[in-house]
Amino acid sequence: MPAQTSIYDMNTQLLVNTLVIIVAVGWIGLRQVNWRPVELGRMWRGPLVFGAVGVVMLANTTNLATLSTFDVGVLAFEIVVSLGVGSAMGAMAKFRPITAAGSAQVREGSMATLESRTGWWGFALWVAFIALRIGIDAGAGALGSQLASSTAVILLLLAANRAARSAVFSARISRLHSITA
Amino acid sequence: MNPQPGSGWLSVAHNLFGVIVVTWAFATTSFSNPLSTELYTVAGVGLFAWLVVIVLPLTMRRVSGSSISVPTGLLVERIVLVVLAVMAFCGAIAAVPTLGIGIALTVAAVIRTVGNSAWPLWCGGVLVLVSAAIVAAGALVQPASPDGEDMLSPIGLLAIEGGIVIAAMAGLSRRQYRHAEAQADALREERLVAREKQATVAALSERQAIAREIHDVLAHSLGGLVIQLDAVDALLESGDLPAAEIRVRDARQLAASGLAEARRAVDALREPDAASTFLAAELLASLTELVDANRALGTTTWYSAALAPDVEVTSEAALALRRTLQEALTNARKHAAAEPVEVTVGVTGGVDEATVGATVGALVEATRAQPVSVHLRVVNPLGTPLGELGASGNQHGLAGMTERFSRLPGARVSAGVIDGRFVVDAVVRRKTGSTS
Repeated sequence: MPAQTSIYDMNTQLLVNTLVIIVAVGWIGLRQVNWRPVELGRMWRGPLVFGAVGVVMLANTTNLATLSTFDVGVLAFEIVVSLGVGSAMGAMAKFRPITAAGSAQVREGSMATLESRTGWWGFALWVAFIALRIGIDAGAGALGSQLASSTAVILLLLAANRAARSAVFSARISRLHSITA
Repeated sequence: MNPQPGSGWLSVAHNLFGVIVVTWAFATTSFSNPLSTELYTVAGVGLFAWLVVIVLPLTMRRVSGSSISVPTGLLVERIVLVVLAVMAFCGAIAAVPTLGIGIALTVAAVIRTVGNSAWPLWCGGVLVLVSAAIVAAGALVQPASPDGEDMLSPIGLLAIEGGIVIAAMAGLSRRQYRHAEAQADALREERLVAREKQATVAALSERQAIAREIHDVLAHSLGGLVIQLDAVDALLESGDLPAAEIRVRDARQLAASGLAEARRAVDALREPDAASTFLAAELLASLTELVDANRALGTTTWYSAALAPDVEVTSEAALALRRTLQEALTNARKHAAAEPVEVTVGVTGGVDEATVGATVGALVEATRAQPVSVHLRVVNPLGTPLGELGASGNQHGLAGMTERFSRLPGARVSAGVIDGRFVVDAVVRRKTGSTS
């Protein structure tokens, strides 16, 4: 029975991962190519939620004491790459003053004055990152990493990506304000 | 301000001490998983890079004194940045095999790069991310030792990565501190420039005030003297010695009063006393003196003054009225000699109600129970200019009058032709809230 359970687990895991990846690629990809209002306060909400859920999930599903240096190394490497990709996406983004259609998307009382669009290069970078992530996943799994393919890690990486992008956005917008002010 | 961190002597000593400690740690720690020659080389390159980063800016300063040319300075900055990157990456490569010792190099390089406000933040960001990735990759490829000893533990790896993050934070705080310092410097500079500008404006306005006084005093008394002396000349030519004597005496008196006036002006310029007040009697005495002097010069002068005894004006306002009367009388003599002059002093309900062109009677009728302004009007018919005296002057008098009144609150002055007569109107605000 243990073998059965293990296969079942792996299948579920694979399914969940595939779904998460498809949703993440689609959702973030859609956001890349469309103009979206920039709401500085809201920009950090996504990364915080993903990060928190990721950490809780990681703590619940993994026995942290059994983690090897290899596991931590893979996680650290992926997070660093994710931060790098997020920063690059933040740096690639273009800004423009908010349009009527953009204003209609934000809630009442929002201070959004700009819209941003990362564009197709950003989307390509995002897809490349996902591909790299799947590659690392497979490679690390084959080398015995128990952590690499967990959903928690995917959420953590998503959080790191969005957080880096938000940080670059904040820096760029504050510089923009200091120039135009 | 020094945007480049680490060029103070304390910082140099601090860094040199760091180089020594890390070298010593590399050399003396015995790893059961011995380090390869390549790793020793990498660590050596990293340490050498650290030394270069410490020494290069110092030698540049020593060689070229304080005036490094801009291109050389930029080149050195770029070299230092590249050497810092080498130092950080060598440290990151050596970090895992040396169980963390190597990360000291990365930490020092990250703090210096992120903390340097002259470099864009992304330079530091790239350095941090690449170093962290190298460390993680190093953990992935670390050879398994047979007994598991001297393998970097997961916590050890986290600690090393955490060290890089903390170094980045330290660099950021240093950067912010330097940024704030630079802003404070710029603000100080700006304030200094503003103060200098203010001082220049103040000096200019002082000079204008002095020029005004000189003009008013000298033009009046010297103009009077010219007329008197012309008269003496004519009388002497006709042989009327007694009349000439009287004229000479008048001229002397005019010169003496001009001298006194000049002294008063100098005193007023030395110790301006805006707070002191002039009572109606004092103001009228001062104006009457001028009217009398004008009569003595042979001009018919009608004078009517209606001021309640409790009316007060500031000394500046009194001086402005006196100067206006003086200027108007001088001008009348210059441009309309032999025509009678009409001088009226009264109070009006308000500055805006001052009735330009009204008759004297109407002006006095405008007096209210609560008069707020003192009004001086000088009227003379247009006449023929008086020889060379009429041609003298460059409108300094009128410009000076306007300047003088613009400095007084609620005061105005106007001069122009109304109904074939030249009318000068001057209004100053009556002083309120006085105790006397």
